[in-house]
Amino acid sequence: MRGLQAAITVVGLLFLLGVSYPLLTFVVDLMDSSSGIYLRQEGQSILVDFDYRGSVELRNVRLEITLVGSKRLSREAKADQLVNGSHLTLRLPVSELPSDLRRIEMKLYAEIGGIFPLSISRAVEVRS
Amino acid sequence: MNWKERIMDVLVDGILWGIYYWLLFAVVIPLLVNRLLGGIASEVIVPETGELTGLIFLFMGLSLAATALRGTIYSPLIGALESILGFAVVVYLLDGGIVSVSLNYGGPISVTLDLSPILMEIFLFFTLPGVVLPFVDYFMGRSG
Repeated sequence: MRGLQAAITVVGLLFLLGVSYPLLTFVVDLMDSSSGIYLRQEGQSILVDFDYRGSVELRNVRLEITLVGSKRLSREAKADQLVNGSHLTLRLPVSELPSDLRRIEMKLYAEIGGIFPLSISRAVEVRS
Repeated sequence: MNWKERIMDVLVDGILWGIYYWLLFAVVIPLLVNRLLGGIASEVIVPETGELTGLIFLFMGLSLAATALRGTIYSPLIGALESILGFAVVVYLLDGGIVSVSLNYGGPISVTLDLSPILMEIFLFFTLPGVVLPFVDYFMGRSG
């Protein structure tokens, strides 16, 4: 019986490696810093573009941007799936932006390979 | 088997199984998960020397007790306790499965990973057999 338990342990360790493969790949891609969130103005809108460069697919992706100033403006964009080279774009009309913008908060929610829930957040203080 | 052989058997078996549980739950799984995360969460996952020392004595003590009480219902109970304790150690080391790290990615970013699928896998493959099999062994021994 102890032998059976040891055999299950070995299978479990191999299964653990298999299940964690998307996580490992994602972390390696993350450390390579190949993905990024870029902001650019296009006409009367500011585009927030999440450029995903990673070999493991992201599922149920949600990008949330909050602009904090005289008022608080939140917008979000969703995608069912992002693969290498995919973009997730969020459009913010300039007319709706707070007049004295102090802070930009960005949050990205996704599932790595549809298995591991992930959230990445960043806040940028805007100097006046 | 005389009493000297019995003591040697209990000591060897108990110490070996204690080391097995310690290696599995306190060393191999945390180190493996740490490697899988590329070392970004090493402060959270890798146990300290004091924790490792305490855990090896705890697992050895329980394994010695389970081996010494072999043939009684206390042996599978202690074996099951050992597996559940091992799972608790992994959950503790993985911060309940939610790992948050700060990275410099053109500025500070906060990354939060939910490792509950890994915990579920550990429970299914390492804890559950450790709980069930000692009882199967005990009841098969009694019926056979």
